[in-house]
Amino acid sequence: MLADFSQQHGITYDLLSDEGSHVITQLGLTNQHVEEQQAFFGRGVSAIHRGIPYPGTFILDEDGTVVGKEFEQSYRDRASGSYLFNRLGVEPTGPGPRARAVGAGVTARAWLDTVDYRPLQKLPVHVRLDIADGVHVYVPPTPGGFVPMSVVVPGHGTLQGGSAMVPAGHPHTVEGFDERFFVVTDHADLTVPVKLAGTSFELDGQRRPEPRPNSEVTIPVVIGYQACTATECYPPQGIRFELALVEEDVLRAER
Amino acid sequence: MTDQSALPVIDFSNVGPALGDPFPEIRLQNQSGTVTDLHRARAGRRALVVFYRSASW
Repeated sequence: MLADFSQQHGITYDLLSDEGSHVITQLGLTNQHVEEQQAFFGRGVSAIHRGIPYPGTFILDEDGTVVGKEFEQSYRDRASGSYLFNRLGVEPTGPGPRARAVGAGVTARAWLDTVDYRPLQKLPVHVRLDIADGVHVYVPPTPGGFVPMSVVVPGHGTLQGGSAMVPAGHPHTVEGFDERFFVVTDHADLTVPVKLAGTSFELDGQRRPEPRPNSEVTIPVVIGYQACTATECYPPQGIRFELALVEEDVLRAER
Repeated sequence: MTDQSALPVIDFSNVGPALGDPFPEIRLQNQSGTVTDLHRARAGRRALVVFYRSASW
């Protein structure tokens, strides 16, 4: 079965067969919530569910140490390949929508490394801020009256958005202020994980009675920041991008 | 009748090997029938170990 599966999908890496679920059991990964999860989606439990694991991914470093775990509450939600490669520290190289804009002291870029998406998969939205020489950008915690860096993907009906984790800055002193400031210079790389429902599913994984007519989705990316030089501060900036994706034709991909 | 009870909330930090732990040794047959040692196959590289429900659904 795994041989056929790997050949059908062009898989060249190892697929390991845990017949009898011995390793799954040894690692404590046996799904203890199958019945509840199936019931949520209006499905029953049968013999094929016996011994199955919670679906998810462990991220290992060069020493084989677990440095990340990606598991979702719903078995219908999965991390996409590009999201996992991003977690692994591999530079994304796939084609995808891109956008670029220049604000005060900063050049901002946003992109996806895929042109299409599968429903309910977690995708990374990448943002890079290149900060001009002699310029610094505030990051949290920021005293009142100053605007820290932020990158947000606002969600809507078929898109679950989120906020990027802003990099930690280095301490910075502003003449005339007693408060502590933290800033980033040179550049900042940020990622926002998003999930798309697709035409046939809702965001909670429930299948729609009728597919939506349009598989194209627009992903808004909203960037906020305030940049300063040693002698002056620019007004707070807001940059908005819109990146478009279409749903992958899964049947075409598997022919 | 569909049971629309909520999805159980699972604390995955307590499921399987924990962050910071060495991933256990695993030796299983791959799709070619060859017994594969995960860490030997990894050969000192970073890796993703994916657990999925089935290849036949």
